[in-house]
Amino acid sequence: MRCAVLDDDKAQTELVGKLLADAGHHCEVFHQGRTLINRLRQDTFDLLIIDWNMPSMSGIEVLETVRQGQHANLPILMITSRADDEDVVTGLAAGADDYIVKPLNSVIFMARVDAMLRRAQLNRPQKSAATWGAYSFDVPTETVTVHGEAVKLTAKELALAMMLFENMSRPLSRSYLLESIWGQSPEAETRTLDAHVSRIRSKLNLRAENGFRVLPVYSYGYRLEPTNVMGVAEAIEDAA
Amino acid sequence: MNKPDHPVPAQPLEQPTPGSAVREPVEFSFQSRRMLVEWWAVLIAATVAILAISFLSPPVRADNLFYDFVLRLNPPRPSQRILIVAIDNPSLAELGRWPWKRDVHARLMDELREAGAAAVGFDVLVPEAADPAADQALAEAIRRNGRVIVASYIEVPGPNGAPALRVPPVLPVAKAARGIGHVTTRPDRDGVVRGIDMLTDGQGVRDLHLSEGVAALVQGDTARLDAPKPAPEAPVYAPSRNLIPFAGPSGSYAQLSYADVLNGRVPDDLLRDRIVLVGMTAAGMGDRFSTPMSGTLETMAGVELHANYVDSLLADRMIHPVPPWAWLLYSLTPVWMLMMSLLFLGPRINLWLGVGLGIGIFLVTLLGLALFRVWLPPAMAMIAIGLIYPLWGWRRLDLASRYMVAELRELRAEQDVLPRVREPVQGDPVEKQIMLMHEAIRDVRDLRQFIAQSLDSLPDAAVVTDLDGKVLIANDAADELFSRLVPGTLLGQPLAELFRGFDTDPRLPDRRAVELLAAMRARAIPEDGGYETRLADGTSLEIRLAFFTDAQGRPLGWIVRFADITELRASERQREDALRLLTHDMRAPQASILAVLESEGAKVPPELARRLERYAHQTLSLADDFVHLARAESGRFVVETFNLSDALLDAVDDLWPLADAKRIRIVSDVPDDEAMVTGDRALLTRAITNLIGNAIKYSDERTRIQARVRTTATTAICEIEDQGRGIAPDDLGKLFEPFQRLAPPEGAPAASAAPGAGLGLAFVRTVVERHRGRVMVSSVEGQGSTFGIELPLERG
Repeated sequence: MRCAVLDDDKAQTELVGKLLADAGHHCEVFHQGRTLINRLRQDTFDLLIIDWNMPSMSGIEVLETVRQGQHANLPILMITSRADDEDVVTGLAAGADDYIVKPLNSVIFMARVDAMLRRAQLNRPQKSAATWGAYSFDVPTETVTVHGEAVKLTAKELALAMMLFENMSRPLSRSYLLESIWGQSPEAETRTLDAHVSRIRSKLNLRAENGFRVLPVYSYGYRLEPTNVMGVAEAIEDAA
Repeated sequence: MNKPDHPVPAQPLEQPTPGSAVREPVEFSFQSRRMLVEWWAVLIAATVAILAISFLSPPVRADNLFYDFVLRLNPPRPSQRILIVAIDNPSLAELGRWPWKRDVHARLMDELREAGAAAVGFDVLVPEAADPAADQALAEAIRRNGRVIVASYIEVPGPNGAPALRVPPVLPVAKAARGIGHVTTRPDRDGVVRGIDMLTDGQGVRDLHLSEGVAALVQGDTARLDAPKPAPEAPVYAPSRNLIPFAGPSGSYAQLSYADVLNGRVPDDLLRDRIVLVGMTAAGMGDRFSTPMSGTLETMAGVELHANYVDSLLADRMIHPVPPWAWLLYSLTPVWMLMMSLLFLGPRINLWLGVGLGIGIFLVTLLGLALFRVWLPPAMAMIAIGLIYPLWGWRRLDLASRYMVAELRELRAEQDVLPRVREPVQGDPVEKQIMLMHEAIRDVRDLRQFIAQSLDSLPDAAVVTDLDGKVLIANDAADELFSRLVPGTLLGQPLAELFRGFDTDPRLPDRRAVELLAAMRARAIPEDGGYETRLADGTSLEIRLAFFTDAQGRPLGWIVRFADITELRASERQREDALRLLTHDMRAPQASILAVLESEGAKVPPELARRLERYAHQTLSLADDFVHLARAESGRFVVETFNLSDALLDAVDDLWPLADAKRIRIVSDVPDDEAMVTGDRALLTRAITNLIGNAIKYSDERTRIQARVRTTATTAICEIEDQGRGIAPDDLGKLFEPFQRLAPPEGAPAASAAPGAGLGLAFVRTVVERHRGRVMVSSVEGQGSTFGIELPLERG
C-alpha cells in the first residue's frame, strides 16, 4: 500500500516510516502540507497520515483541502500531540477517519492503520450472521451468542451492536449512529443512544476482560475496540 | 463562560417566607373591616335618628309646604252641580238678625223641594228646642223634602265626665231628616284645613260627616245613610283622615243668596237637580278656615269646605295619606339604598345617586298624588339623605386620617435606609398629619434620588424593568452602552428590543437570550440567570437577571445588569492559548524522544532506553495532569446528563490492561437502575480513572479492587475500594491537595514511586466540587482504602 506521512518532526516520520515499511507498505514522507497537496494532484495514495501542528499550514487545513478535492474517500489518520477531547472532535469533524494521540504506541498505531486500509478496500455485504471473537450474531432471531450463551436483543440493540462490530476501531459519531439506526424517528436523541450503548454493553458484557470494549469518544460518539489490539486485524477480517 | 454551562431549570418565583422583616399584607383587610364596622354604625345611627325624628318631630311644615304647592299646581274643576245657598250679608239684611225663626228654614226647604233640588245639606245647627211650632214646621218641611241631611256637632269632652257628646238637631228635625252628619273640622297645626277626619266611636262605628251624608244621598247609598250611629256619649277617635283636593279658593262654587232663593227670585231651573248646601257665609258669622288654596288673608266658609268635600267624594278624588309604617319605610329605603351604594360604588356615582334619589323621592310623591291619590310625605326621606352624606363622609375621612397617621408613624419608626435626623412631631392633630406626610414625601424623594445615584455609581450598565420587561430606570452606563445599539431613550423600551441589539448574527437567534426572555415572560427566574453575548465591536457582555419584590415579597420587576467582561474574556483566551501551547510544546518533544527510542532504541543500552522511556512518560503525564487540572479549574464544561455507571465502566475498561498486568481483579458493581448525573462526562470519567489508577498503583499484585456505583435519595455515589496499603490518618486530610504524593512503598527506592506529580487527586476534587459534589476517603492502614465521589442525582 502507498502511504503518505506528513509531519515536520523528523523523529516521528522516521518511526512511522519504519513501522509502515516493516509492515510491507510503501511510505513517502512530507514535511510541508503544501508539498503534499501538490503531490496529490498527480499521485495516488492509499492512506494519509497527517500531523496537526506544523508551521505554515496546519494539519487541519491540509485535511480540509484534501477533502474538498477529489480525495473525499481517501483514508486519513490524524496524529498529534494535542490530547484534548475537544481536539479529537475537531479532527474527526474536519474529515479525519481516525485519530491517534502522540506518543505513538506502535502496536496501536499499526492496528489502526491496518483497520483503515482494510475497511477502505472491503465493501461490506449485508450478512444474516457474523462472528467476532466470542460474539456470534444471528440477525433473524435477534440473538447474540456469547461464549455459547444466547442473549436476546431488541431490534435496535442488535442493529447498534452490529454497527459497532462492523466498524471495529472506527469512531462513529452520534449523529451517524442515530441516523443509521433510528432514522428520522423523533424519539431518537442522545440519551436514547447512550442508554442503548449502556444496555448492549451490559447484556453482551462488552468489557475489557471479554476482549472488546466500548470506548466513548467524548462529544463525538462511540468506538468499539478490541482490548487486545493484536486482535484488531482478526476482528476486521471477521467483519469482512 | 466561566461557569458550568448547566441547562437552566426555570424556577417559579417563590414568595419569600414571611419573616420579621416582611410585613404581612393585613393592613388593607383590617382597614376594610374597620370600614365595615363604621358603615354599620352609620347605618344604624341614621336609621335610629330617622325613627326618632319621625316620632318626636316629623318635618310636617316642609311636607305641608310641598303638599300645598303641589295641590295648587293643578286644582280640579269645581262641579257645576253643587250649589251653595249662602246665608250672606244681603240675606241678613233682608231677613233680619240671626238667628232666624226656624219656619224660615222650613220655607226654604219647601222652595228647594218645589224647584227639584237633588239633595240638600243643611249646615245650620238646630240643637236646642226653640219655638215648638217653628221646629215642627221645619221638621214637616224637611220630611216633605225628603232629601235633606242636617248638621249635628260633637262636643269633646262631653258633660259629666263623658268622653264626648254628639249633639243632634232638635228631635222633630232629627227624625224628619233623611240623614244627620257632623260638621267637625280640624285644622292642621299650622291652622290650615287640608282634610276631614274619619271619626269613629272606637268600635268601628263611623260618625258620618255632613258632606258624606250628602254624597251618599246623591249616590243613592242608602245603606250608608241608614247605618247604625254611635252612641251619643261614646268616645271619638280619628284613626284616619281624608285629604281634600280643593277646587280653588273661596268662591269657586256657585253661590246663591238665601233670601233670593227663599223669596222665589231664583228661577226653579237654576235649582233643579242640584246639590244644595245651605250654610253661613256672612261676615263675622260661622266658622271660617284657611285652606291650601287660600292666600294669606282670605278664608273659606265651612259650607264651602263641605262643597269641596262633597265634590271630591262624588268625583272620587279624595287623597289618602299613607299609614305611618309605609311612610317610615318610604323614608328609610333611600337611606339604605344610598348606604349600600356608598359601600360598593365610587364617590362620583354616589353623588349622582344621591341627587337621583332626591329627585326620585319628589317624583314618587308627585306620582303618588297624581295617579294614585296617595300622599307620601317626602321631607323625612330628603332629610335622611342629606344626613347620610356628611355623616358617612366624616366617618370615612376620620378613618382614612387615622389610618394614614398610623401608617406614617410606623413608617417613621422603621429603620430608614438613609441616615436622617427626626424632629419631634408637634402641633394640633392636623398639623401633625401634615408634618408626617411632608416627612414621608421628602423621604420618598430622597430615596428616589438615592436609587438614581446608586445606579449611576455602578460600574456596569444596569436597567430596572417592570414585569413585562419594559425599562423603568436606566443608569448612566446603560445609556452610554445602548446609545450605540438602540435609537432614542431607553425608558419605556421593552427588554427584547435591547437584546435584539446584541444579535450580531440575526440568522442565529441567541438561545440564551430567548431563554431569558421566555423566563421573564413566565415570571420565573432562571437558576443561573446569566447570559453572555459578544457585540460586533468585540465587546463581551455578561447579562445577569434578578427580580425585585415589594415589602410583601410580590415580584414587581426585573433588574438587569450588563457587565463588560471583554478584558476578562481576553485574558481567559490568552491563558487558554498559553495552556494549549504548553501542552503541545511540552508533549511534542517527549513524543519525539519516545519515537526516537522506538525506532533507534537498538542503538542504546536497553536499560538506558527503558529509563529514558520512563522519564519521557513521566514528563508527559505531568504535562497531561497539569493541563487537566487547569482545565478542570477554569475550563468550560461540556454538560450532558449521563449514567454514572457508564462512566465507571469506561474507567474500569480503560485501566483493565494496567490492572491485568498486575493481576489485579477489578470488580465492577453497578445498580440495575440508572444513576443519572449531569456534568462533563469526560472529566468525571477521568476523575474515576484517576481513583482506580491510584488504587492499582498502591495495590499489591493479585489483589482485588471493588468499583461500585450506588444511589441515595438525592445523590449518586461512586466508590473505589482497594486492598492496598492504606493511608496514614495524618495523610488523609492533605490527600486532595495539589502536589501531594503518598510515600513510596516501604523499602522501595524513591525512584520506584509511582509516576505523577500528585495532581491526580487534586483534579478529582476540583472536578467533583465543581459539579456540586464531594469527595470522600476512608482508609485502614494495612487493609485498604476507599475513595468515593458523591454527585447530585438527576431526577426524572
